[in-house]
Amino acid sequence: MRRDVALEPAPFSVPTVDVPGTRTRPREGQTLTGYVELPAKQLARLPAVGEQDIIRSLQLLPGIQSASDVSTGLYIRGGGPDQTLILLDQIPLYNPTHAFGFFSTFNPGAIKDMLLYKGAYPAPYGGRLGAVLDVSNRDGNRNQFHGQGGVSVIAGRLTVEGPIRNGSWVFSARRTYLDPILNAVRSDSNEIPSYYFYDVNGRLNRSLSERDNVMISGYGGKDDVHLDLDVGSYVDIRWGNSAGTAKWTHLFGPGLFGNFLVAASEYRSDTEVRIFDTPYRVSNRLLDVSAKGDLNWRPGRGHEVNAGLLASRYHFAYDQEFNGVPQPGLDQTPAAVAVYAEDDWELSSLTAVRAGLRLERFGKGGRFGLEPRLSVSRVLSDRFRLKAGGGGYTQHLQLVSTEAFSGADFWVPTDVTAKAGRSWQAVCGVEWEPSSRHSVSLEGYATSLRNLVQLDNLRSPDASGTSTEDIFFTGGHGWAAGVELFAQRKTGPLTGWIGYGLGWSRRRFDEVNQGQTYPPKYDRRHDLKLVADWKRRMWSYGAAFLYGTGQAFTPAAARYTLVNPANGGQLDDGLLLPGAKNSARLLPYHRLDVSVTRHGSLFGMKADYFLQVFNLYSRKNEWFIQYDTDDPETVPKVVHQLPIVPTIGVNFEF
Amino acid sequence: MMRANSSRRIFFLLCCLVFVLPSGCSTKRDPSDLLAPSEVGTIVVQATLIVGQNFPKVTLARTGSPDQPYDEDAAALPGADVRIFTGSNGEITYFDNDDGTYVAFDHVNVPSQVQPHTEYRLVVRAADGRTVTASTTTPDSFSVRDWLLLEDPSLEVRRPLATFADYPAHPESLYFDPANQLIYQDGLLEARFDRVDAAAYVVGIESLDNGSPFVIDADFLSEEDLAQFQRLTSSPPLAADLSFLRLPWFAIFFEGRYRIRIYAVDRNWYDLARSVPSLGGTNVGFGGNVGDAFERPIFHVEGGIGVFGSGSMSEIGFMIHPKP
Repeated sequence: MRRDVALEPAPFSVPTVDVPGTRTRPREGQTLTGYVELPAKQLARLPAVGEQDIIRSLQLLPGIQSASDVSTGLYIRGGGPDQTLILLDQIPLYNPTHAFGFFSTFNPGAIKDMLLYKGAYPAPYGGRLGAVLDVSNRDGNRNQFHGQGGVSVIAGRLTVEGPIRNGSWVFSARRTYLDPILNAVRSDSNEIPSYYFYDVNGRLNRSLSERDNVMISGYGGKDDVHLDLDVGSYVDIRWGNSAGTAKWTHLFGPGLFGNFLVAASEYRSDTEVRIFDTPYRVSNRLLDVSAKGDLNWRPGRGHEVNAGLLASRYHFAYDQEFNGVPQPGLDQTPAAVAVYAEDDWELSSLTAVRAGLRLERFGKGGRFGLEPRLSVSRVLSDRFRLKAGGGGYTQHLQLVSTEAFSGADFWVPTDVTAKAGRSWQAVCGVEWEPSSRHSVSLEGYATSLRNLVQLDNLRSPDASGTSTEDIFFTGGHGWAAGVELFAQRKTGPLTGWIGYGLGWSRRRFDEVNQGQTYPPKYDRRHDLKLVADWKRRMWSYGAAFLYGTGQAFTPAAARYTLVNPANGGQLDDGLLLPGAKNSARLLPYHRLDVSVTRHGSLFGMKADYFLQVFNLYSRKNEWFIQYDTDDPETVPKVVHQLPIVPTIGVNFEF
Repeated sequence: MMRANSSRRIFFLLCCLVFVLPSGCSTKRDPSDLLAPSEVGTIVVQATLIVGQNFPKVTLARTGSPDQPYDEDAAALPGADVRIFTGSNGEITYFDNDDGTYVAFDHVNVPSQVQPHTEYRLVVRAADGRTVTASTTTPDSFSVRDWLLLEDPSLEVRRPLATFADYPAHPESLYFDPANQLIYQDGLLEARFDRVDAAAYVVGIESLDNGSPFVIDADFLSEEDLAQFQRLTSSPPLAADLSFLRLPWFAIFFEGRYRIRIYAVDRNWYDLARSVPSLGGTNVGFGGNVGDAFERPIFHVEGGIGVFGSGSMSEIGFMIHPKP
């Protein structure tokens, strides 16, 4: 029998109490390794550059790195950004970046929470070799109209939400307002592009009956850059994502409910460049239409069974034209089906096991991947918990990405000319909760990677082959291993964490580094993160300190020269001969970000005025080495990352 | 109270820690830290055989230190024994010019001109005993069937261009043939040919009139940028799967005479051209991490670096005039 009861609110006073935070998915946290659940509000309080960004905030966790200060790519536990599945309301976003990768597409005002699986993720997820970031839009306020917004130095955002009959809605929008500033400083003597980005999020929840709920969610975002160089010379780039999800949740009976959804996600970019009247155009589109059904059943005796099916149809279209000549493109429509089942079983009050199996079939020829998943946790005492997990993972989609310019990123499916990427992960750790407000965890991980691909940068620009082995170096191997320590203070006026990661990562391709194993650029031996957030009356103070081993780079081993056989001209006065790939290191990376927030009011609204300073002591962190061979006297040049960047703004609620 | 004090102490210690740590680190570094002179003294060989032409000179040098300007004279490697072998008993002996260049002077069982579809093997024995070897198989003979000026954008043929074959006695006259007078950015120049058994096609572009003015109108480029434009350029290696190549106008910078040579190239030349950015290689960093494009070129030279490649070639000349 079920009875719904509505409670009337009534005010009463109590002394100040200290309320420890509770995880909304306690089973996940108790059973899984490498799992982090982060409310968007917590991430949004952390210091930012220009605009709050929750993906950048994730980079403050141990084991998660960025490629640079201007990148929101997530390098998790020795894996590349393409190895992390990023979901928004359960549909993948394929290029979740704005401003060439400087910001993520996630408007902090629109996001409810983020679940991060740093490794050994469970059977309901699949399709990537490394990690999963599952982002949920806000549900909307079911009781009253509410709004919040923010103004930063580059963008403004507004979120409004409210009730509908038996449900709620939320709508959020954000747009940059750099265009007028750029227009003002543009003149005939300088070429400053026009640029903007925007994104909108919306979500509608409604209960159709006591047993049925529906949710409709949507996202749209776009970046637009235009640069006029001269008569007959310009650059025009547009890219963006759009995604929509419709979900029906049905309660079949006590202990059994299901989620059924249809969703679509599209990423497209269009680039048109004309230099001295020579045109180049490239258009890139990826459409993912998926249907998914999940059943959750609690048969009793400590079991919770999840099973589901996911069917996806992709359309990859890559089309380019140079000087009026169509260049080789890509037009493929592979399909994928995945089924999974898992049992989250409390064997006893001390031991829990989560065992799952996922079966995937992808593309023409129907290649199968069987992926077992297992997590075990054991309570050792009141305050200690032991965890272990692991599994097999398959990746059929490959990202062609440019760290410096994510607007041109595109995905391609692995076809029959290459095996799908495959990884095996093992994680084990121990958790210690010395008090209700403190927790400490220590985790070790190891990942084996097979059938990796790497873009063949050297192929002819007009080469016609567009198979996987034409585009990529295939058959790569790799591994990553490390240890992470995470100590967190979760409640009280002072919260924060100390995270330390010790890691190794290696790759090997026959065609790269003369077939020798090498560390990828993001191999990071030491990775220290200190984050503190201190609330004191009307003020909040935040600080984040990062320290990491310098990125790997390839040093020059010698100087030589050649004559261009095509025209007899002498090449640069002394070409530099690269040494072993990534055999040297940049200087260690570190920086301190701080923030101060004053809680007050604005036109009667609750408002937070904030000052945030990125890289407070303006550390000249090294980004990469530029070898200039035009001038034989020139020594290699170190290109540095961002200096000190202050940001001011205000967030408000009404 | 105890708890509040404890929080403050932790925060204070945290602040001290983050200020003390960076103070012990400096971003100053010796530029030599960025170099790893592990391959100084490696033998650099260069020779490119062109089908139908005499055997080219062979150049030998040694690599220099990466932190020193490259001194060609000091790097030259004289005193080596240089030979090219072909077939079962063909051999070309090279004469040492004592400046690091070697010229063919004795052909035994070998025609004096490079033959198509033939394997040649270079053997260099340096005076210090080191040996460098490399092999190339020449492509088939190659010639462009039609050099055409097309309408833009309809791509209809406006007129064919005259070729060097039309002026066997006075090749210089080709540049003044009325059909070969091109207005900058007026129409599209296209070469049509039958593909041959070659790894790729490379286009060499030469502005022959040193000192002729720029034909480009680029206010957005500084004087320094303009100084970078060279009169000798080349394309990246191209597949030309459609059996034609179209000259992009952004490859033309100057008024005056231009010579275009299209080479059908062997694997060695192709691999070198695609992996050395200065040769028009595509390894300029698209895809991947910033700074990752500094990759070792593909040399196909045992015991050293450089190129021993081959190609067959077809060429044309024309005159570029500015837009009216």
